[in-house]
Amino acid sequence: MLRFVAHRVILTVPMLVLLSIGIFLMLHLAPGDVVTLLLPEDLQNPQVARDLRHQLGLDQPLYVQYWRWVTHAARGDLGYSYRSRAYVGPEVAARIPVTFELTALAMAGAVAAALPLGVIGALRRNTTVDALISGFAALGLAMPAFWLGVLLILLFAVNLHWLPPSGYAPPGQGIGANLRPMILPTVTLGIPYAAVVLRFVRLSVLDVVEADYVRTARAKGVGRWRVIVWHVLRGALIPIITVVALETGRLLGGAVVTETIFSLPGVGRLAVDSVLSRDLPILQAVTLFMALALIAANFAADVLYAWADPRVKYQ
Amino acid sequence: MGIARRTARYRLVVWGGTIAAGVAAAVLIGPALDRVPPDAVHVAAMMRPPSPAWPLGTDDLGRDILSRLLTGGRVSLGVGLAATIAAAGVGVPAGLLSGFWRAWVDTALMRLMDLLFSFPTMALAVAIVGVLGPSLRDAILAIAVVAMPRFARLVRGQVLALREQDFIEAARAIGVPAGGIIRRHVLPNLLGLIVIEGTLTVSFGILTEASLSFLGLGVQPPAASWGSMLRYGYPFLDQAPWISIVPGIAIMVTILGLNLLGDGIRDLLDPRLRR
Repeated sequence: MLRFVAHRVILTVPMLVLLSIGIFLMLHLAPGDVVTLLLPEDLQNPQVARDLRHQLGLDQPLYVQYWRWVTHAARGDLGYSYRSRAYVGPEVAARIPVTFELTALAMAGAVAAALPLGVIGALRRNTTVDALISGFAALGLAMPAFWLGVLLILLFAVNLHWLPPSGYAPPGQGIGANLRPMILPTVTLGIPYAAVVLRFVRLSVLDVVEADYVRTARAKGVGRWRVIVWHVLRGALIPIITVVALETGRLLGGAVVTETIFSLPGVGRLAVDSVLSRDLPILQAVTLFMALALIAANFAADVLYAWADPRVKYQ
Repeated sequence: MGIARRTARYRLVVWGGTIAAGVAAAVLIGPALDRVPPDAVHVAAMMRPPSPAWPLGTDDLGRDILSRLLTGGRVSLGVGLAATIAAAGVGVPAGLLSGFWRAWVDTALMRLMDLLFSFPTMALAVAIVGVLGPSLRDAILAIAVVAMPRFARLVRGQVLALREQDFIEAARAIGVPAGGIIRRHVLPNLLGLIVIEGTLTVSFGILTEASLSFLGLGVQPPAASWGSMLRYGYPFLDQAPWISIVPGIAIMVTILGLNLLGDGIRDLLDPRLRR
């Protein structure tokens, strides 16, 4: 097992190198000159521009700049924001807990809903119940997240006044105050994800119900529910774990939209704001964070898979 | 898959196809038949709810939402289609190259695809638009880049399976050049898969464009797509919810149709589900 993890870590290294080059190039691929963007109107003259370019090291060859960027980034120094002139690292880090809470809640809620629905759909396959569940999944996938968010705000905030339309309270202000404004965003983000997981659970369970060991269990006279929970679900669990982790990208990407609708001060909203204000260092850092989070999730999926399925060879 | 299940699938495919074709026809022909120009401002009819005179209501400037929906749909569908063509145009040859020649081409291309896959799609699209600056062209480019690796991986996987088949080996044995094998034997066998993936990518493209435009990162005013119409109506949600709801329904119906079509055909062809 340890060898498998070590091997998997080594495989990640070239990926990280490529990733760092890609993220580094973001600033250099942008049209327009960084220096012009940084200088205030009244300081726009060639001499000042040349000095600033030198100060920032932008007159160095690209590989020198890359090396400098990587070594700084490895120490957590991702440069300054164009707008606030503050360090980018802490600015992004401060937003991470909000995004983490939102995605964790959405993932937990979605799995809690998708697991039973998927199992029911598979056990009752080709019945009305199955059709309804599959229909829900199809709708969940076709519904743009922002539109679902708008509808939820319209119903629960504008018309019924049950929940706030937006806002965020840090957990320090009490669990209730913290969770209440998170309900609508969690549902908005969770439904498309639940739809994907649900479809997958249904297919995995369908694969397993006809397996020989399930038939054997039934023939031995094991009770219906025991068979479902202990034999069917356990057999189907491995692919389900994998898809739950692999689809994390959907959650992280969805967080960009969801946080913007509900004005949650998370990483996704920061990405959108940084695009609108052309604050490229911030965007760079957020993109890096998103990619690292997804790589970590994929890594977790691989390790979980190997841990749960003894057939996977540790090499 | 049993007979009953197959017919049920066929029915879904027919439904999906009908919806998608209906939306495409409405968006293509609709604007020509419509009586009100989409940008015409009617001061006397601001924020009217749907009624016989204004079938889908008007927005805060008194513009007819139906006409705007039809012309905006051209943008939404156009972006989805353009991005798909671009993604397939790069992804399919990349997958062919990768699967057919293997060696360093394969390694290099697939590492690049891995890199693109290591970003959440929406975050990557936002980052690309962020670097290039928000515009319709860059939104198309972003969606194409995000969708391209899926084509490349799909095609590569199929090519790897195909090239071991006897008929390909036979073609190679009688001296058919690589280009000929790809054109005559490999591509025709891939066409179905590419069309299915293409259908789903159009749906993905429409959804992503809508998200980007909703965030203000796609179509820039005065041009409008369904996503930007939805964004536009957002501040008036409590007074005139139809401004946002109508384009949302249009997006949902279109995506649902395309997904039913693409998923349905895929399921019909997937031997794993035939039981």
